[in-house]
Amino acid sequence: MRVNIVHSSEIDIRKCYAEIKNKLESLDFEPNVVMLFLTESTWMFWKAFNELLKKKFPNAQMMGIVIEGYVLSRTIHTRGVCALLMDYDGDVRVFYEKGKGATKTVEKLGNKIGKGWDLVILAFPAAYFPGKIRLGITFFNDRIMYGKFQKADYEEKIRIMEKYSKYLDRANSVFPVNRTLRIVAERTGYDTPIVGLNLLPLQAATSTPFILANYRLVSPGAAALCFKGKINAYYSDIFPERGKSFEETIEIVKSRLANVEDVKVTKKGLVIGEINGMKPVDFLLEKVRGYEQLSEDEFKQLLDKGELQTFTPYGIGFVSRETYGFTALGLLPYPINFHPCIFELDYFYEDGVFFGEHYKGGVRQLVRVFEGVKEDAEFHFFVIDSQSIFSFGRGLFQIFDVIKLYSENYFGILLQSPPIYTPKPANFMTEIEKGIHYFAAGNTVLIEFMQK
Amino acid sequence: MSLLLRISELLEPFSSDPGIYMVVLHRIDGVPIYVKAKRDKKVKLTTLLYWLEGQIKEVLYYIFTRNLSEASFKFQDMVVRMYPVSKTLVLSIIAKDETPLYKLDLDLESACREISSLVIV
Repeated sequence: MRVNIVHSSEIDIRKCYAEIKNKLESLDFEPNVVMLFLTESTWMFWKAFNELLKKKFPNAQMMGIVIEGYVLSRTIHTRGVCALLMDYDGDVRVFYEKGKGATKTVEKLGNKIGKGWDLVILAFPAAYFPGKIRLGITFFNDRIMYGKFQKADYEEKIRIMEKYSKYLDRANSVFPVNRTLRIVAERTGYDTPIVGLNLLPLQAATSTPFILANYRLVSPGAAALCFKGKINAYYSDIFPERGKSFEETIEIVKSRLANVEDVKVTKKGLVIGEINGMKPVDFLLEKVRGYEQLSEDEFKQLLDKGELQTFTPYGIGFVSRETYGFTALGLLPYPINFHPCIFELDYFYEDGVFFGEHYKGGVRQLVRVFEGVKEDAEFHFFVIDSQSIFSFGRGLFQIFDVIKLYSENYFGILLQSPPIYTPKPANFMTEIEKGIHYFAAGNTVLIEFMQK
Repeated sequence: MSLLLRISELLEPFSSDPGIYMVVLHRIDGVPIYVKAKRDKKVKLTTLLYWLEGQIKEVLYYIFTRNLSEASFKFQDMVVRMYPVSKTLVLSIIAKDETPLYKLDLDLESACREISSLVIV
């Protein structure tokens, strides 16, 4: 297997394009896998880079996404463009699907992928930010349905939230992390690790996040890069092992997170209707001084400028009814009544916790995933939670102190905290359904390409 | 490729950033060895450069004696950040104060590390 990483950290798009083009000219092998990573400074020029790579490597299996940054051998960059080019020894193929309805889209994609793969990298928009018209419809539906919700009894509230959830699904607004992985795990026979690239930019723009698959724009849809061969996947989170009961898990979690408070959540599907009997945004504003709710106009303007913040240090944590695992949703002061959730809430208890995010164990905890790697690995590709940029700042460079102990040839990307489905039993705190692991911050996924 | 040319290649991307007025690499005595500045009527860059030259000596003193990892000054609508590259070089940027620095910090640290590997044998 041969690997080359071509990158330019130029902001000036002409210089960036020229640098990438020059570097591609000097490439001494023909890759069969191309992964294109665009950053905040270049994603709007995706067509140019897509065309460049398509002309150069028309037969390669290609996937492209927007990332927050990338990690090279000793540097971290948040600007420009990067392409991971591989001449992979085994079988490799990209599948994609784009259509109406997030669940239907993922089901169709799962059918296309089928069984027999050794690893799947699955890119999907955890939340999709549509254009003005669709956004206007969503705000309208939210207002109308929440008006009915406030006057309803409990059963009726559940029914209204279910209806609103189905609307979010039909509109491709949310590809819930656990449901998406569950569907693909089922279609691949529950024996293939699935690494999720659940795209949610730190600062969202209209019609983002987007996905390219075999040089086509497939958003709001999903794409899968499937490998057959000697390849392994590892996962780590920031917690110790989970408890054996709801109470045990909550006790462990309370010792790890800051400012924890018990809450009761009215929820269904992809929607939180109330926290402690209050509208979610009102609850957030009551708990956090200094937060102000965005108006609809401010929300739209920020989205137009690509500056709508999607990260928050405050979240609601839930315990899984199935595994007693723990996960969380970041709460944001958006101008909406129902708070959408990027994972399906029906698998969790209604009793949860409100918390301020907190990393224990520092940067080293973030890359402890490397501790399990094998000696005869040829190349490591990893995904680190992009919120670590805020948590650690320049301290993030300490990851190299750990990584260099375990790997000589690696490349990483910074992206929304990545989920994984793994058929191997483990006892991670963030295993929220059998094999499905996800937490809102601090997850790391590592893919290990072995020597042939 | 000459050392200075390679350094200018590494620093060039920062001057393309619309939020950055000036990028300067200073020698130990405060003398700039690389400057890339934008024309802006609001910013008196030569005055600023002269002021920076004086600050560098102070910053270097703290880098040597107190392991200072960065220095930041904020005035009017500008922010000045200084990052030690080596025991003899300091990188400074002057940016609009609304420029988000959380990501820029990582890129600047990368540039410092790459320059450092060029000058430290």
